[in-house]
Amino acid sequence: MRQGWNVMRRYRERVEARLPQVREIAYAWPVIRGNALTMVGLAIVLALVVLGVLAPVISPYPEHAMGATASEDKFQPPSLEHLFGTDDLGRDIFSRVLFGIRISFNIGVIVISLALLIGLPLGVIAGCAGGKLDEVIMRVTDMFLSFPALLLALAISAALGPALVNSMIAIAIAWWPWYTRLARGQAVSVKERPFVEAAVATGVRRSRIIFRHVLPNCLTPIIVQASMDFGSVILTSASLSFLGLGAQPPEPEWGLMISIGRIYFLTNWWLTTFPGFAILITVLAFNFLGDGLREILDPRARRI
Amino acid sequence: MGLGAEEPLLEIRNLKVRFNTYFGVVKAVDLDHLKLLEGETLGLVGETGCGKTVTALTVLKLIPSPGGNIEEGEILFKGENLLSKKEAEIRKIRGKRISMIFQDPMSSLNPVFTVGEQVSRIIALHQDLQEKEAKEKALRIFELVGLPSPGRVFESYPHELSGGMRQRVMISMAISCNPDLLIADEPTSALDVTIQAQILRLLKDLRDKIGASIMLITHDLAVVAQICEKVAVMYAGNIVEFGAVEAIFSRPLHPYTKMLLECSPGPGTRGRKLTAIHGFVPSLVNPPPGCRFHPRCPYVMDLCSKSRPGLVEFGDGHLASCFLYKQSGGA
Repeated sequence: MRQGWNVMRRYRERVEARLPQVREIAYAWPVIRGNALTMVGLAIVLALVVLGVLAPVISPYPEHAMGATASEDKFQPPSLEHLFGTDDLGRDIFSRVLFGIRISFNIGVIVISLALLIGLPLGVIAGCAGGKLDEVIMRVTDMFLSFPALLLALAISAALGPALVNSMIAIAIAWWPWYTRLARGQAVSVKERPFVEAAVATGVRRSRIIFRHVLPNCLTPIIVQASMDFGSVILTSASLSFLGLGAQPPEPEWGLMISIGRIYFLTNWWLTTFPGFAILITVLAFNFLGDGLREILDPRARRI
Repeated sequence: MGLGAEEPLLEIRNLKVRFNTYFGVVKAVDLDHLKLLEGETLGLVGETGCGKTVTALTVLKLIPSPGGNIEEGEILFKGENLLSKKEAEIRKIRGKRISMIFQDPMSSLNPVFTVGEQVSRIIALHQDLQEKEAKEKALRIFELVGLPSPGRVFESYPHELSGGMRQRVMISMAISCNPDLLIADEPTSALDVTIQAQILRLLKDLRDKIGASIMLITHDLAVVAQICEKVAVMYAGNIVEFGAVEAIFSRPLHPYTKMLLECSPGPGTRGRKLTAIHGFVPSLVNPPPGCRFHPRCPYVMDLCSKSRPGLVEFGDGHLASCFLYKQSGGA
């Protein structure tokens, strides 16, 4: 028993040391716990994850999320039978909102990973290289940044054609420049730290210096930004779906559900209201969580 | 030591290093001549900002490239000019044949990797060894530098080690590939006094064990007296005096060396106030004309502000650059 505990502690120390951010979060646990909003955000996010994972088990009509219809039950108001009511095709909105969590979280994870995959290396390379390469990368980044993210994503996904995958690609393309800017700023300061000079003095290759020495030490503000962006990405993707450029029926995507329900809003309010609340709560939760993380990981922005 | 070692391991000739800054061009190093024989320990002493570290960084071509500028000069390492080598060639020399120990062990190790990983990676990099062999070698070196329980240190992250242990890790990194030359840039100044003594003793032992030459950069004359055979005194980017330790300490020639020795406390200075050198280190943007020490020199003559004295030999490899001895001295 005791042995097992020690092994666990050792493992935790190992993870913490490899990613200093994890250690900072562990040290900051009391701070997080003291911050009510962060705790609310964290709790909601965790609850959403659980609900999303368990969606096939919890939802009363899982088939309604997959495309089955029940036209005889259409426009049922919220009741015990249908918690959130039913839509124009008689599908149970509660089930569809639950399955929508999966879609939204997938979008968040995939889009942010894609954006990080493009933005992070470019930013770190720009920061380390300096000179012409830096100039070229950052000016291209500025070009992307000069469009509002939503508009750029809209244009790209319109060009690619309406589909959920295309809208994710479009959002990722609109999103990476933020990470590039952030990573470059960090890299510029990290590359001046003595251990980088020491690595150069031992004959380490430049590419290795950039990716093994500079990059892992640049991650803190990027983690914060990514967690804050999670909500915005979900919101953007819902907007694209609302405009018909993202998810296509019968997918239970929240933006799409609002778009379909919009026509019936005055007579059957529940079609739009519940998916709308789902978006609201998710985005809010991620913003609370991101704010809390920033307060912990980025002491300069800490409010006293 | 160094019998028949007429061929110097490292020879720096006529080196000029400049930095472009907002305030103008800083003439950081103007070094006429400096050589280091095989197996020898050279102490490079001088005040802060006199160009010691820049000289060392220049040997490894580590001068930051936009801004820093090696204007002219030659650095001969075993007869090859390092300054004319390409980046890829110099990288094979860094860490393998010339390695460096940095001043601050607290920040010179990457916080996100175990020290074992960092040391064995350098070994694998320069010696083409498999991971396992590199690890064994790293463990042997940890033992050599006196780290207790090498196995556990190998698995540790830098933040888990004390300052002295971290400096030992830095040293094991530096000696891991049996370098010919070890540059130690104030290896003890970030450590407390007891650890300082241990580290210096370790460096001395290692020099005898692995037979490397050491270039020790320091502002501490006591450290130089302890482990060096030769001393080069730098002032404002120039070498003002060079020679064997005994000669410099017993018969300093340059007024700056004399005053520097009087500044440090010793048995002879008991009960007396320590003397200070008046004035400040000159700005290297506009260094004084002639001898750069002349505004602070008590023996200043008219000549001193007009032309720069060259390094002149006064027998037994004792060199000084001062006009005081031009008439009486040799060559």
